[in-house]
Amino acid sequence: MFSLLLLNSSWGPQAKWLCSPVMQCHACPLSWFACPIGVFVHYAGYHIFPFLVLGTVLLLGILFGRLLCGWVCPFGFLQDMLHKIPSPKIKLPKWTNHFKYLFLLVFVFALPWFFGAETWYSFCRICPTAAVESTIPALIGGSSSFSTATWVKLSILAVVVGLAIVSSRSFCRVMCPIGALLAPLNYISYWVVKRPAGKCSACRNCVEQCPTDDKPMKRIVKGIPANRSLDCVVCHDCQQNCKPRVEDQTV
Amino acid sequence: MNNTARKILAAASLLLAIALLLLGARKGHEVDTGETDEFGQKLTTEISERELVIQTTFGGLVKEDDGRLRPRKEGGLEKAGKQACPT
Repeated sequence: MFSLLLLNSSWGPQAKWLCSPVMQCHACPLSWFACPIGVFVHYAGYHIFPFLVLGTVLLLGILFGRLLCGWVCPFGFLQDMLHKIPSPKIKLPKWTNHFKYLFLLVFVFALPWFFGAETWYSFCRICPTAAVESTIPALIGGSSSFSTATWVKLSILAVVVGLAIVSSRSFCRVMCPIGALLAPLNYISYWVVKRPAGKCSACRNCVEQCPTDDKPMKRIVKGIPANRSLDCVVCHDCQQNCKPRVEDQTV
Repeated sequence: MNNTARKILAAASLLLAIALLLLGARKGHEVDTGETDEFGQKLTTEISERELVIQTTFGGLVKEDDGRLRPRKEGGLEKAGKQACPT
């Protein structure tokens, strides 16, 4: 919530040369920082190598992994709130997690490369975060009107919102290109989700609490940090809900 | 991946990230100013990588067919300010 206000308000400094690797649209005039996806789309269209933004994303990813997804991303926060709405819940199949890499390669790099930065097929044109932070405010404020592109964007937002209600963090798992960029860095990041003292008691609390259905217990029983996984958003819910084996506790 | 390999990979990636940031800090990009000199030649200016990132946030530059970047609006490079991106 704090980052949602922090990243989109008029009272802060404007540092749009700096990319914050979370889902916040720099098309919002109030935005403090640039969105790396928007910058990658434009650089791909210009056919220029993105030194600064790639270095920023790589640096933050190595230091924190997907901690930014779990604790800073305003769109992740929005999904967490939507998932609290009472409704039947479903689990998306594991193979759908691979779609975000396709979104990254095709809609962020390939299509802008071939058709230009302003192409109607770039990720910015379908981004649900942009729909929430830029398109809807522009429609309400009267600076934009309904068009085919607007309807496509709002339709995708509606699907993402619906899925977020029934399936936890579904956008993060299936569609988010920033998540796709940061995911491999979870394996080497300096940030570690440590298991509380004691051996795993197989209580499965961590599995039930995991918002991305990543089954952290499989790693924890082997002594591997829970965040060493592509789909972990480093929320620390597994760590906070871990119960050490009773017989390992000192009487 | 064992711990040693992970640490080596992390350190190498960190160095790569720092190298990319340093290269980005030094890199410049030639942009048409939209003006011409008395001989009709297009005048260009060099902007930093930081300025190019800012320009991308509101679609201030477009790429010509010959690969040159030019300002979207007539009259030269727009001051960034608080402007919305057309995408």
